[in-house]
Amino acid sequence: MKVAQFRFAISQEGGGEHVMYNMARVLKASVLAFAVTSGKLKKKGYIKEIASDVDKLILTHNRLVKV
Amino acid sequence: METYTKNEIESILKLRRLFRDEILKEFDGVDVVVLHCPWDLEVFDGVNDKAVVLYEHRACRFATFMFDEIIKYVEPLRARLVIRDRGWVLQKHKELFKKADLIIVNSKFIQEQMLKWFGIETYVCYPPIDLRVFRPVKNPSRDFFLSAQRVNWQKRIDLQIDAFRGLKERLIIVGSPNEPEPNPTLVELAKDCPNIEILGGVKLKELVNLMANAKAVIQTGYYEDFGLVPVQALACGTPAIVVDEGGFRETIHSPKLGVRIKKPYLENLRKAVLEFDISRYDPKILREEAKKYGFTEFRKRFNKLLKLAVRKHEERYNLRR
Repeated sequence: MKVAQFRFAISQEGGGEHVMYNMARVLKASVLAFAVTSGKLKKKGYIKEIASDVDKLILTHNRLVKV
Repeated sequence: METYTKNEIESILKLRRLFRDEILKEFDGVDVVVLHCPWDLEVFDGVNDKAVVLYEHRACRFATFMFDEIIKYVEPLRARLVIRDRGWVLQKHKELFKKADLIIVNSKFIQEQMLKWFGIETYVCYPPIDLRVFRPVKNPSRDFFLSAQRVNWQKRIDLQIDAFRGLKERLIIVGSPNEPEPNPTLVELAKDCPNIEILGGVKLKELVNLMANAKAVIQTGYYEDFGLVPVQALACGTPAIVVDEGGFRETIHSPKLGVRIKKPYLENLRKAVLEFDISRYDPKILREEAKKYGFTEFRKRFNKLLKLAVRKHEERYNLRR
């Protein structure tokens, strides 16, 4: 088994989401951002190459968790 | 800061189990999954074809090292439940943590807490900062102190305001980017302080500019698990004045990098500000120190740990067979 592919799973209750996004961006990792607390699974899908504007990503994530 | 009871955590874990297959489908063909929320370990429990890494920032701080502080702010009826369930919450987290093949933590401080409260060995990998963005400016003004953080009680911003009250030294307090307006509570607290300027969140470029021109950044948060701001300041060639707690102890580990103030914080912060002499600090040394937290170091360390996670996962799998 090799580290051929790795993916970040960023969920809303973990705290430090923007730090995780930033790390995934630096590593050029794919991300599944999700939230499950509203009783439904909300997926933001994969962010292949995370944009350099971390502030924007925080907003994206806030929109996700407010759904 | 949120607190959780047994019932709440059980509901969260139940939802994770309910959506397990749907979430797992998203990780088909993935060799290593990196999580940051211990509750997500419930989803990947028993999955043998991928290694599971947890990047842990907090060591369950609401039930461990911050419990005594947090409980003071919890409404009394809820506090009774939180206190009642604390033992269960700790035990549940210990069980969850054991489901990861490898746990990475963001500081030695969190590493110590994970060992102390859960008996779990972890590996430190500091979160990265962008050294191309956070960098010194030519001829910095060095005519104010800067404090930047989200506005909440854990950051003890009131302490900073009290320390600067009546001083000639200027303090600029910046909020987080998603709060563009100055925080009204802080504005009210500082209304009799002409030397204190309260700003809302600012754009990254402006934040860097403030950091690079400040005499020092000031951070007073309770037991910060890592604390990015002092490290970003170092990258800008600016020293830091921090409380002697949590992650600040390892980032500002030398008097060459700034001042770590001891209790009583109000008197000692005031004293540190009044006695602060920027000429004692060499921006080149500060910048050099910040390189430990650059992207290159981070990638090297993180990739090494991913490989270790795979090895540990394989060992575990073989043992199970």
